[in-house]
Amino acid sequence: MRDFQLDSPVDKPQTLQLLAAADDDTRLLAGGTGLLNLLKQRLASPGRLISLHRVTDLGGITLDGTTVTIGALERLIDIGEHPLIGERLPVLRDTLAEVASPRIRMMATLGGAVAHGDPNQDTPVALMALDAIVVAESRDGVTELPIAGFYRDYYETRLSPDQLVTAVRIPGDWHSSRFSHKKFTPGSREDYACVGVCVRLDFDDRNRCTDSRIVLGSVGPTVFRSRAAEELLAGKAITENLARQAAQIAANETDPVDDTRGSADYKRRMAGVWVRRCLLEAAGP
Amino acid sequence: MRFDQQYTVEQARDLLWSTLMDVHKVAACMQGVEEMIVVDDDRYEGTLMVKMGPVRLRFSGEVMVVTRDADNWIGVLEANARDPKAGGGFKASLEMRLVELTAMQTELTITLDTTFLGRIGELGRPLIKKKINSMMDEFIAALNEQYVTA
Amino acid sequence: MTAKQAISLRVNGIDHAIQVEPRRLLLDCLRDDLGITGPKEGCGVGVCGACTVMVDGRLVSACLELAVRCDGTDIVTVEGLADGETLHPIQQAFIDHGGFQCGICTPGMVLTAKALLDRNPAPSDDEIEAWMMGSLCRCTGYYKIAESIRAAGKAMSTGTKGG
Repeated sequence: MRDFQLDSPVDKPQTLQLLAAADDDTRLLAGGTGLLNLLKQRLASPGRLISLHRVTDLGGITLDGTTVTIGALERLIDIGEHPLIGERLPVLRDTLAEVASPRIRMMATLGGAVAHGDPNQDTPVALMALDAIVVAESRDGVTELPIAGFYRDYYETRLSPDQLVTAVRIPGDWHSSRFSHKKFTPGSREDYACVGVCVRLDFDDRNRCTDSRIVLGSVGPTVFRSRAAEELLAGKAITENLARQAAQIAANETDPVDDTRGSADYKRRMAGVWVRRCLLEAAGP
Repeated sequence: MRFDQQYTVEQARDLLWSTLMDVHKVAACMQGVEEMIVVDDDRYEGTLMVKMGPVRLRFSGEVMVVTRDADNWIGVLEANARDPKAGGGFKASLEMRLVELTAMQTELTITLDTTFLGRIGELGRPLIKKKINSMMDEFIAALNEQYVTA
Repeated sequence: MTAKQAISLRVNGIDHAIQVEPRRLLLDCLRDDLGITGPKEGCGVGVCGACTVMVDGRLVSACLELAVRCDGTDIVTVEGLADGETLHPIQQAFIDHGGFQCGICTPGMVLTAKALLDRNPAPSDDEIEAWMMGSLCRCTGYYKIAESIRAAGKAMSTGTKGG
């Protein structure tokens, strides 16, 4: 790795101060499981890192009304094991349980999981199905960014260079929604997914779909929602045939690359398979 | 890694051909490339920047015209570039076929075959693929713009 | 050249005051600067678990951590598990049940197993597999490792030393 300067702020105000003065050659370092790999492979060589390992005021998992707020420096393992998450957001709990390994989950933070912008990460897939809100701060103030439009490209988000993710908010009572997710790893368990899917369906009392989220990861430059597939489901009962059509639409929106987890063609087809299966599982009894 | 795409260029085939076979003119349309130097009629050197999030890759190399088959309207370019810091690079072969659609429209078929070399690992490849795809689109857009303004 | 920083690492109960560049990986610092060779480099990307250490009680891939970020922390490597000449029950169980062959993955396996048994003394087979999946072994096929962990769990619960 190239040499770099390392700053170690102790709290949020100090971090924001450093960010306000930072240039294009500065990156934030949280858990390190994402960024340090880029540095070690020499794909990125920032001259300065702002390391958050000493920051103590960006934690916490709290409930306010029906909104769960998770501090950006909470470790993924602690979030997944927290009773609030198990109780109110089981799809997030279950998604987190499959991220990498327990050891990586002890290192990785939610802020990093959201801000790194690698489409192969699992956490944003569930967060997008939950309409999560990214809370970003700079010295100028607080901005709330819905996660659905948050990702622009590989490793690129809507954060400006002086912004820090301080928390993720997940409003809403999801008890009556139906979720289904799949991290499809045909290779081996600790690897990234070939395709990651998270589906959320809401129904009226005649079993017609009133709202849905169909989220895909690992099959394009960003995690994304297939809004065209979601629109197809509106107002209808989820039949085998409808699920198949929606899944095909979603698969057509993917833009995967060949790698050890499959060829682009295989990944596209698996996206179709798993969206269909997740839709049927979520719609099932 | 293969890239196959067909484009419609708003220009007569013979004029498009002479543009594509002229490295000076092609260099003028390559916006994604820094420091373009024309070495001779068949070669130019340049640096391709790939920038996404924290990632910075700088590939330095050369592009050569290896085939000019005017009878069949087929041209082939070869590129060879390395990023010494990342310790890897790529080799690409770009074939262009021109088919006349109308007097003022040509169908340009581009077939690009890229091989990654050295240590460009798994994390780097999707970014390079994305960059090459968008460069091709920008190249065609620049070509069309050149003709519209000419 | 970036200036070296003075840091203090407590490793297996012993304080070390050293000077390292910010880019110095914890793994390289432990092995090359301090001569603590328990953690090993396997994959270099945090997947295989061979470089696993504990930092303030958390499992960490030392190949993905910077030494300077561990300034002032308590680090435990496999060398820190034994009590003088007496092996930790997990180490004893790995010996008694054939939980290693070449031994390269073993330091990481043992520490990761310790983290499991400290939080869950009687894990089910599924729980062992789910917890240990971040530690790869090329030799054993994993059965003996799981058996060693089950035996260690029993030994630790009953307060015996293993076997």
